[in-house]
Amino acid sequence: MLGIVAAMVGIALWEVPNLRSHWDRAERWAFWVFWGAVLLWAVLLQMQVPIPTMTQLTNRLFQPLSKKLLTPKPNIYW
Amino acid sequence: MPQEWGVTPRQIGLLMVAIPGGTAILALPTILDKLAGQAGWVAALLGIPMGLIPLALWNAMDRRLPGQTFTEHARAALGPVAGTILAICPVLLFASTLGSTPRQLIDLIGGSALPRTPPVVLAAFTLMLPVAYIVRSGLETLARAAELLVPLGLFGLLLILAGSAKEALLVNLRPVLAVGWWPILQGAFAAGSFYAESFYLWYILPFRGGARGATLRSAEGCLLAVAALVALSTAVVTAVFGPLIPDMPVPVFQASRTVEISDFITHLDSVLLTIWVALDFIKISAFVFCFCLAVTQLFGLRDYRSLTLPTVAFAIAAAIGWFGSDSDVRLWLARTWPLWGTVLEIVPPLLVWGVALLRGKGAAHRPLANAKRRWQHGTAAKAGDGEGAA
Repeated sequence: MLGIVAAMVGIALWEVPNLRSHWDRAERWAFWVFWGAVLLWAVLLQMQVPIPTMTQLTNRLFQPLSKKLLTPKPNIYW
Repeated sequence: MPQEWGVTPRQIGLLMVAIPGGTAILALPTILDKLAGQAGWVAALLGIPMGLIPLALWNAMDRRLPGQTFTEHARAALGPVAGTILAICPVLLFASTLGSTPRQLIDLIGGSALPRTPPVVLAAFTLMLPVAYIVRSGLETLARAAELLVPLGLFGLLLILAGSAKEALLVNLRPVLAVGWWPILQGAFAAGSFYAESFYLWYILPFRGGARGATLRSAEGCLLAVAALVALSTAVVTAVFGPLIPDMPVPVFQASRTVEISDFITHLDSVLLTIWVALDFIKISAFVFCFCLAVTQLFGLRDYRSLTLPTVAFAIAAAIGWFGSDSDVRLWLARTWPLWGTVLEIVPPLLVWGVALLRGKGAAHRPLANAKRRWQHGTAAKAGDGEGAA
């Protein structure tokens, strides 16, 4: 986990020249907010905190319809 | 947003090949054979209309409001509040594929070539860092990479299919349509949800360098080519492996191991791996670009590049954290993606187009309609334009 955090912080430092000169205030904020959110989420995932994932949510959302529409029928020839 | 990009119709077409093709040719043969049995290749062709719908809707919207992405079209048609809410749909769609597509490739590389390498290392070094570099370099760089890598990938795939066709038994494809129409329509729906990834082009087509008609024809033609390739792959692997297909994770990969041409072109699994790293590299880069652009426009930022590295980090974490194993990815692609993908790729564009049509948004900007109106009212004749007066 320490390695992941170190790698992400290290890569963030790569953006320092852009943060200083090329991007405006909104873009700098977007970078840090997005980066912080992803870092926090990655750390929580590593700590195995049970956060519902997008796949779990979509599976739960579409399971009833999927059972009706996409359940394979038995193939008597195979 | 740098508007000076100019992506040629041919590059758009090759991106169209990589976007659905990168996943569809790997995953669809198993899904189609599980649903439609030996008629899986028919289902692959019947799904084409679903892929053409987003392109047709983009064409209709681009005639009204030219050079805009889906987010901008949604805001123009539905207003700032409802349009912004609807523009969250593509962000969710892109986010979900940013987890599943790298994971599929990581499992393929890890399972076949680098079994002892941790998935996070595979994700970071083989895929995502090059992806971050290419997306930051801009859409033209991505398009040129597609121009170089996609034809090589297609050539390798055709070589594998031709080589493994020697082992094919046509009896495995018979009887055609024996399972009835419903399983084939189920398969066509699943295939169509992959082809409908043509919706992603809504964030790339505004930067086209050619005419709208040529660009659209190129994208449509390449979508048909992808569908034909999926049908061909499904037919060949079904003919080679028959009833074993539904239990095979990646049948094209197994087929590549059966190739034996002249005793020295054998075991082309390494070629297949190279093809897929190349195709998925283009595909994931296009996804990251579309995601960054969609988020940038959603929050009114000026430059998408500030989001590139966080998005790549997000994709690595999603690929590792969202799926427990490779069977989870396959199950999600087979059971959930067809519905999730279809709902987000077809319904929001249909809604935006319908509302724009009802409210007459952008109709006044249509050059042909304006020219016709001027001609009918005699404007051109008054101005002394001989061609118009004639």
